[in-house]
Amino acid sequence: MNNSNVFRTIAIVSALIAFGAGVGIYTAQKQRAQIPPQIEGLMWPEAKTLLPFSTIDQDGMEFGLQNLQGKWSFLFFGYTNCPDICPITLSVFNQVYENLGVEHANDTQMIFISVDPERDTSERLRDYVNYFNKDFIGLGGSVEQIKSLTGQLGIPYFPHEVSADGDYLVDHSASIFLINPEAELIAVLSAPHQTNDVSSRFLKIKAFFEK
Amino acid sequence: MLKLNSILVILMTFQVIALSANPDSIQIRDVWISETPPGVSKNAAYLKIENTGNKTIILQSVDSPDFERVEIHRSVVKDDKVSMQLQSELEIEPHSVFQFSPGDFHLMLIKPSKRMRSGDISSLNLNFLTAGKFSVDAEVKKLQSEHAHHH
Repeated sequence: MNNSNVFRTIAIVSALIAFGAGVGIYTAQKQRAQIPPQIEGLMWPEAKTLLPFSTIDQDGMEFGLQNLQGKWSFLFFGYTNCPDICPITLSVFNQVYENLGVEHANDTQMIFISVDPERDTSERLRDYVNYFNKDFIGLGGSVEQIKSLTGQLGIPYFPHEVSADGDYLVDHSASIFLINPEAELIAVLSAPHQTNDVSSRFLKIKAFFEK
Repeated sequence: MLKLNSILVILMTFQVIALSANPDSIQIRDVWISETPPGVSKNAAYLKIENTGNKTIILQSVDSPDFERVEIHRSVVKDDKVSMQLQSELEIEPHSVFQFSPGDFHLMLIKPSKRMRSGDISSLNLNFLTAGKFSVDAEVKKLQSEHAHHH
């Protein structure tokens, strides 16, 4: 082996070592980036991919899986005649949405899903969500349509017995469900909900996914 | 003997009075009703009841001229599910403040005679065992997220 061959071999081996080290560092960084931040309620990497579903929005239009794709969605399940937890949570939604500002609000949607198909018509849902914010979405439909979404997310709801005057209450989920733009359920935020806490957890989760 | 009986009756009467909650020991404040979106037939009312006396006071029922009926409820979150628990009555311990707040204890005001708007004033009648009826004014306000109950 002459000198030039020795140098060539050294150069090739050095290049391979450097490449290997580079790949190693890159892989390590990539792995680090995949370690989820410590955020209460975050389900990553065990995110649940949503399946197609069919509901009706506040304008009477069909709303399905494709309407969740490409946006961050906050979901809350309740009913319009709910006097306490539902209006509180929608007030929190409104405050979170307002606090996000234009930069984040453009790719974020706040969605209220009725678990009281008997009483919550599209018109009623429109009046209801508009009261909190004109941009909010209200979903309903038939029992089967509502179940196409609640079933796959495991959302509990139980109507109480109907009273003498025809009125009834409904027990329902108290959590906020966060769906990412790939239509995966990535976080479940438990009640009680505080505006600042919901906003900061959302922004941390979003930053992690957009890294 | 008759005299002894009379004394006994008088003594017993005093005892009953001593056991009864004194209306002066009940203070009701920070009363408000949450405005509802259009079409909703249930409002919630929140308030504080202070018992400054030495006896437990018992809130038995509430009514209002502006609503068909009023129920005492508590929102309870368990295993991520919220349920309403109807309270038949509430006991308020001596020297304590009982707080009704969003996401917790509240008065459920059912079927308003008209939609209550922010700024409207309604009235609530709180009926206590022995202490009797207390009427208070309640202003209708828009629910703010800051009102939410802090656990």
